[in-house]
Amino acid sequence: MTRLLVIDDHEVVRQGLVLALKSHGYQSIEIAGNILEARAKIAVFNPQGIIVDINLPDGSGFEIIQWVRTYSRGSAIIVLSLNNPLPFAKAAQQSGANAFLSKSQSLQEIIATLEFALEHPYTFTSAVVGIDSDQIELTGREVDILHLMAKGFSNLKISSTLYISLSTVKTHISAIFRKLDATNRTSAITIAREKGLLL
Amino acid sequence: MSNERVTLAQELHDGIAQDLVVLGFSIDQLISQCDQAELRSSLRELRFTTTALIEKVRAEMHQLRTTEPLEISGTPADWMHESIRVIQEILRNVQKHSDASEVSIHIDDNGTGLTAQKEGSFGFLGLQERVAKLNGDIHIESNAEGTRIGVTIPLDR
Repeated sequence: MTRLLVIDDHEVVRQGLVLALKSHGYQSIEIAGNILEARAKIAVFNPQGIIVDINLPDGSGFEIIQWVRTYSRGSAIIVLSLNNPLPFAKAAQQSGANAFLSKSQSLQEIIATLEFALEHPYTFTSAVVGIDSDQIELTGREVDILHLMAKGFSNLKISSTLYISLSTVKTHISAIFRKLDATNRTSAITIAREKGLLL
Repeated sequence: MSNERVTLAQELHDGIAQDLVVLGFSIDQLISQCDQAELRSSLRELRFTTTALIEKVRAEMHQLRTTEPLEISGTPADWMHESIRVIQEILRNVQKHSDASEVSIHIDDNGTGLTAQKEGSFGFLGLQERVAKLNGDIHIESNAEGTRIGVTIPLDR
């Protein structure tokens, strides 16, 4: 029986997805509302398929994806988000997800994509095909750091939260500033919000 | 103001948009279970409208975010908004469960006493008018160590 984990901080969405997945024959489903819960569930439950939102109360969903990918290439990971897909589809691919889907897509599309990813774990699917040359492309890790910056985390706190060195944090932040054409944290966050990279 | 806009954008996102997502999922379920072609076609239209609504809310959220320059969370508007929510919830509980005939709200600050120096300004006049309309009392004490404001309102039972 395929084990699935649904990570979303909105209870209604979690319930809706679980209900739908169950009616499609998936019986072994766990849920998590934040990164901490998700890590615990993944460690104990070892899901074969994960559906994860980007905006979570304690960070970004990319953090989970990168963590899972450090030890499992074969699990299916679907990013399901309401964020503007253009800036995120590539970050999703880079962080190791199998698909980027919008929450406005139909259940049938979501489940079909999940099933495809379960069977073909090394593929990437996205409904977004448009290419916008003005589009800022951040990596999954940069999105993680941007989320934590917006929460007011210091470099030190970001480094301890993501288990990376302080100098790595600084390198990522310089890259974020450069890509966003920002001079400081406040302007980076403002620009990121305008571009739909942050909520 | 900008922070209230951000909060509003987030609430829209968290609330309406996510509810619409689930509404869409429910319609999808109905479509897959429905064996009447005509009804299925109506359900598809409904699904289409729901998807359009989700996109509309998303566009509005984006507009709200970008209309004014934004501040980072942790600024005064955040505690203000949250505090109002806390007080609102407490009062709602009083109304629902307490059987009380009156309720008092006391707010003390440890500031310079300037909160009350503006007495007679529109804000305070407005407060007094509102309290009077509810047949309540308002008391304001203020000195260099801070301000204490007490409002008592009778509850209709």
